[in-house]
Amino acid sequence: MRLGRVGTLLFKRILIMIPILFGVITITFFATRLAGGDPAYLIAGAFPTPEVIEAIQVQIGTDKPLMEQYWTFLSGAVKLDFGTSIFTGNPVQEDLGNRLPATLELIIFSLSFGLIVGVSGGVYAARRRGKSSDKAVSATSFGLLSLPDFWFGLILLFVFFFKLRWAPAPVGQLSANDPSPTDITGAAVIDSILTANAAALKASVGHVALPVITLGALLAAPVARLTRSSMLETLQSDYLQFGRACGLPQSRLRRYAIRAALPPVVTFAGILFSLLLGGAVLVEVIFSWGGAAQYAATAIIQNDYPAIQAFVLVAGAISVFIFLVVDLLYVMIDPRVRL
Amino acid sequence: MSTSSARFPKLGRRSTRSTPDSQRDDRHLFNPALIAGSLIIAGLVIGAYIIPAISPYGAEQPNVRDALQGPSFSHLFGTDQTGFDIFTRSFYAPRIDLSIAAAGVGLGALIGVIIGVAASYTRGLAGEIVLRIADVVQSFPVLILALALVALAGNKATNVIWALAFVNVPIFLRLIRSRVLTIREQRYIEAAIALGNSTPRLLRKHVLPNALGPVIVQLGISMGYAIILLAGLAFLGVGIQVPTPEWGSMILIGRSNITTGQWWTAVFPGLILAVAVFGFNLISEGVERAREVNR
Repeated sequence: MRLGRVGTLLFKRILIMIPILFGVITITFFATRLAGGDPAYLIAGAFPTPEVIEAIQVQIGTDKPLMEQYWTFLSGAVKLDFGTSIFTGNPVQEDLGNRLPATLELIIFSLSFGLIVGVSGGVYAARRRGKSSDKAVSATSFGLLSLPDFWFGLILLFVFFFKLRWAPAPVGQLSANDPSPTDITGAAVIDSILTANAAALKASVGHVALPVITLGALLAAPVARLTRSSMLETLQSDYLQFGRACGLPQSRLRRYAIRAALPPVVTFAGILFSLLLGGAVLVEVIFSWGGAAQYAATAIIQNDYPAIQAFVLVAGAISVFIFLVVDLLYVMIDPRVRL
Repeated sequence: MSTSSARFPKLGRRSTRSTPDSQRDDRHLFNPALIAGSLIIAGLVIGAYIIPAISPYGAEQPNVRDALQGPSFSHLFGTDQTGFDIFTRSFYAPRIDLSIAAAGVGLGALIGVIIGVAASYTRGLAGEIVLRIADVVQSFPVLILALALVALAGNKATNVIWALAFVNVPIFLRLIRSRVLTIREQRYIEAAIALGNSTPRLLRKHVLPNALGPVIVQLGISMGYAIILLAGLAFLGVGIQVPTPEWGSMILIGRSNITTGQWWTAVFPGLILAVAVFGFNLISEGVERAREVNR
């Protein structure tokens, strides 16, 4: 019964995803095109001659009418063919595919860290409502909202790398002299686990810690605020009053309350994932992470048009996919939802 | 789509009031958060004109002999690798950061509100299409979209403003839409229609004034985020370029010094930036609180 409900929903949501993904591709094409004009000028560099421009236009197909180019882009995107990177000379989808696992690893670790710290902080604050510890959690989280992530990362780097020497240098997922795992996914921690390489795991966890804390600590702030207000609403609800009146043990009441307070947080996690994709660009640059986000940052400096376009598209598509996952999770925790 | 309109969603409050916002008392309008936030922003704006004027150092005046000095009485925030005085530049920066953020967010809010009112007051296919486009635009990560737009359009302040406006339009559009849909069902609107108000007058005099409260709250949040966003772009070398006294580009200059111990080059500009964002968040929180008391 339950599975049937989720199954139907999954089917419906996937059907809705098709026009949305189509929209994502369309907006990527027209937004990048409206902003940038003909990429041939961007590729040609600072002092182009008309012949050079024309040759590039023919090569990348911008001499054709706009709608025809849109069609080429659309059909390419459907086949996951985004053209050749001007800077690396490889197909963009290969470049992105090789680097995406490292970025996703960073994002998923940061999201987990942020959710664990944020939810526990929020639950703690809500249960001690009005006390000084509640005020401390609320004030800290409000203050953290004002910090830019790239600046926070630099400060952590100064404290934990330069001063305390606890963290390794910001040189990527592993330092040159670290034991490295066999390359399976390209994400060092995952690879170390897959190959059961304890030494590499230790080194890669050491490298991932600071970027994850940078992104995760700042994420924990809005999560804690949301959890707190959701939890407060739940704690005042009639059914918890009733449970209390029936004399249910504290621990069970707490479990019910947390579960009932979670749905808004789950929805928010989807938005956070999308926010993290952006944050990853900055944090990967600071820690020379070598993931897809840093690749995009380099592509932007190099005016690598196909790579920029593909990264925007992939980021949008990943977000759409995550929103789908979040919707499904929501249905699984909240049986009242029917769609 | 489950995208939220605000950067940080608030739980839905079950509001049953039917008094228009414009008629509620404003005794609680001046709460500590609102006052503190306004003072911070006012201080930064005034400081941006006074401090560079009385400072012995220019905001774009390098002094190589004084490069990479730590904080001292002659250089309160120290100097960076080209000998720029970080104190002067950090306090000059609001002129650039705040005006670009305000222009971008203001433009985005204006366009968003106009399209939002038009799309929600008149039921129809056009409104539905506009909403779907807003949905899709919002499924892109904001920073990545803004980054790509500015990088492709060229590193000019006007392009940063347009990019900020572009990412803010859907937020305000959806916000105003949800308000207008509620207000449209209120009794006083019915009364106003019965009295023979024309649609433009109805929108201007009765719908908009009552729909704008949440917009003001969102303006504060969006301003704070826009400052972080434009500094983030500058930090990546996109948009505002390096010698400009702008917080993000100053942090970019200081980035290479942080792993060699000259912390002040990046820390102080970021600190003043955080204070500015904090100020806007406080204002937003204060307005929200003032509205809540009235509920």
